[in-house]
Amino acid sequence: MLYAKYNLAAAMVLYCLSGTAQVNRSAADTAIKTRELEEAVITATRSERRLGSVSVPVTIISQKTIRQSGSLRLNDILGEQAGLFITSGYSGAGIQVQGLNPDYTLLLIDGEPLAGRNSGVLDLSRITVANIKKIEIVKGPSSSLYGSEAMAGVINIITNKPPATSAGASVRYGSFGTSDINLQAAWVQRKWNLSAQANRYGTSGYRLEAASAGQTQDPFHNYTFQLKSVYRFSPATQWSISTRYFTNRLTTTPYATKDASGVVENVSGQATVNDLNINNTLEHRFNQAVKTNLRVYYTDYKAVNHQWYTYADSSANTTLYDYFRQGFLRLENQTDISLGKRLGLIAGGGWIADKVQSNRYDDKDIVTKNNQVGYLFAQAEWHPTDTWSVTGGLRYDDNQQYQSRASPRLAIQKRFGTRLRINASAGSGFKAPDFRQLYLNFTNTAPGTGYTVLGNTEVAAGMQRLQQQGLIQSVLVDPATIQPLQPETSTGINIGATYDFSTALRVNLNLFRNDINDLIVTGAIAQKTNNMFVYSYFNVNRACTQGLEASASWQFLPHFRAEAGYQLLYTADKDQLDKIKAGNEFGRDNGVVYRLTTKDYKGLFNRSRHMANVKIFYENRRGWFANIRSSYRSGWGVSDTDGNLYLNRGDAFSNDFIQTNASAGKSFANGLYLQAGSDNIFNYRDTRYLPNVPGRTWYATVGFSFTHSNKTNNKP
Amino acid sequence: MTMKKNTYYAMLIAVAAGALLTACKKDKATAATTAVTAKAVSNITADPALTSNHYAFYSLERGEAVPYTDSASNKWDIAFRSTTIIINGGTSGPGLGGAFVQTGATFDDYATVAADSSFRLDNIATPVFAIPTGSGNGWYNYNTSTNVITPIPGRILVIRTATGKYARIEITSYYKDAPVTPDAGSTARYYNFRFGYQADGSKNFK
Repeated sequence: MLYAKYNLAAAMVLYCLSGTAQVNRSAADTAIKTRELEEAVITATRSERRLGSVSVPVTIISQKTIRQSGSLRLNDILGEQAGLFITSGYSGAGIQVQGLNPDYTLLLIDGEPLAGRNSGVLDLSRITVANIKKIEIVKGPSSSLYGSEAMAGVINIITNKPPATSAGASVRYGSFGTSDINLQAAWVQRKWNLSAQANRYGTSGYRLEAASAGQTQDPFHNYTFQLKSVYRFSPATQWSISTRYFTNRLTTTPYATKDASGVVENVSGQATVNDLNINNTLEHRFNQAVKTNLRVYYTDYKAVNHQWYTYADSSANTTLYDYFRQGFLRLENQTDISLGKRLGLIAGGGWIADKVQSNRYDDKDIVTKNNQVGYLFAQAEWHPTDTWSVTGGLRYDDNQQYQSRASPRLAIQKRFGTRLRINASAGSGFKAPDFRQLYLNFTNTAPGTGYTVLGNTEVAAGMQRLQQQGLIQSVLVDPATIQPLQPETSTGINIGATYDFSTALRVNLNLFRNDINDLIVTGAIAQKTNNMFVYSYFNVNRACTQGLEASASWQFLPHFRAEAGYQLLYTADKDQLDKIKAGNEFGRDNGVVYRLTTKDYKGLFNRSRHMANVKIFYENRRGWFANIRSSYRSGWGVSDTDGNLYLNRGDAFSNDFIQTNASAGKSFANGLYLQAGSDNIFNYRDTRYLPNVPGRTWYATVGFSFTHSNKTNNKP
Repeated sequence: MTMKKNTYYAMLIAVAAGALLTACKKDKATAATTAVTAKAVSNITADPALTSNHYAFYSLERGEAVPYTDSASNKWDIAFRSTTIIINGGTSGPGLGGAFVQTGATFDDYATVAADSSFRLDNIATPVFAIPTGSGNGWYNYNTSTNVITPIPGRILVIRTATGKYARIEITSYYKDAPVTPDAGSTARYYNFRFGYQADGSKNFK
């Protein structure tokens, strides 16, 4: 820890020296000159910068795009971006960035992380987009600024800060009884801003196949409340408090089915999620060159899941009860120092206390587990000339439970004239083992299952207990040989170019490569007498993802804008690939066994080789707007069906997926807002592999907003 | 699905016929060993719930199922219960049986049992089985995401029978009627396999 501090100091001194040598050069403007109106981005460097001056890959989704696209939840709008793959499953909607699992993307609301991942997935549908000002997506490892989880990138949701006293309401209703209601009010004074938002979202759910037992999507409804207060003591000092509360209730529509032994069982259930976030920030600017902020953040996430299986013979009744609660407290300070026009520094540090209470760690009782992390970070942004920019960052995380970690990142930008700029960045990322991987002690008691999962620290005691109970048939891995889990680590490289053919046409290209080491995977360690297995977690695999992202935006005719995006992706489990290269691995295609070659190997599961989208937006001065948006994903590997556990020719792949959404509406000058649309207008369905896609849906929205004074509202 | 199943059987027959043809050709050339024909076996019921917890016994020599009442004899060579396979030898039976799992080989390519091969014996007490139990250890992998058990491609069970002859076995499916892509709805614990039995006591299958 101390050693790293010295390293940090040394790095900073180095940057300072190189900076002062250049200080008498002419002023460099970090804003790109070709597009004066370009948006600001904060997530890439933890400091507000013009998008064009940032040397790592960043995508910004504006409130206007979110609104006009008719999105309701975060997964709706992220799913329309090329290269972002929305995963679906028991844990909800997750996100893949550059082909990396949802576990490796950090999700922030106003710069603060959300808690409550389930099997590594943070369910994006927990987040309403109703009060979002913009979404910033930074791709590539960002652990140098954000620490654990920011291996694939960071998604930062920036919520609204209404610029004027205003009030508004909107109601939307659509297919499957899906409704979304929003209320918003803001009171803006010279010193004090107060704003409140409320959202209710609900759906009756749907059933994709009439014959299926139970609903494909059970009905649920949720509420999101947000209250923000910003008080300015002086032009230099402000204090803000933001509170967000989310509550969701899902009810399993009762149904009868047959259990593994063919006996009729009745299934019912209820799942609730509660999520509270409180963010307290004090900001002060000492002078033109130095500003600092102090943040205290608390979040409390609680998920309770109850499933009841009842039988005619009530003695056979079983209950599945799952309780998971995570509390997270963070103190953080960040100071920004500008040393002349050519050098900017940020430095900061913080402390995190993470606490989890769950019955997953003891099979029965609710057990509490704690962890603490202390961290320091620093970043220097240096402009040696008007066209060069170099940004270097380093963060050190000192984790109480496992190995500490230093994460560097270096990013370089070079501008050629006013049209072309080239970016290159390299960095390292990490993800600390989570509570589940360390402490899980879980036996699935749902009928037809019966397997056990033991976290890394629970293996020895857990196996001993199972053996004493006589439940172990054979031991496959001696618990004494299982090593403590280490953080998963990665290195990522991004090289990209942006070219402005004109002020109306911009093209962007980015090549990326991510290498992950010590990937944590589950593996069987014993077989139980019920023939099910006992699993634990191991740092074994190495994986890589690489590919290319391309995007173009084009303003054409007076009122049209087109956007197109594409991602080409190659992935591999490097250990699997090595074995296949050795030539002694086989696959089975339609019953015929064949020797695997690297050509037959299809990489990691759940990845699309090609993803693309095309969007056309129309908007005129009288407030009319219309758009059509199409997304494509080539088929992805769903599961291993030939028993070699590789994804290869002959395994189960989904079909190619195309979804087209359209929407149109009008914003009236008096504040009235009307919109109607349809998602999935060509009714694409895949009941087997995409049960979260219900087919074509329709909706209509009516809203009204009132703004005091003649300040422009930032809503479309 | 029926289409696929038919294609599957057609392929199985084609492969068997292919093996037969090559065997005949070799025969003409060398005439050293007796021809080994590949035989496909389907739906051996190995569900303890349906077999009163008994193993399902099979004779490779005669190519037919053997009643469990003959379990203490040399009439059977191999027996199945759930994912466990026993061989008539060691503690499992009075025969001379043993076995090992050959990795990195296809059924058709596996022509000869290497002279220095060591056959393992069942030993219930340890317990150790000639065909190791557990996902990835023996003949199958268990897929945790689909809950499906699938024979590992490229693994051949090399068997020494109750009477000391040799056979090679490729398990093709663990599910009733061997669906190409078994899922949670498929009926498990039905062995489908093909085997070649060398009656002349040699270790050659071609």
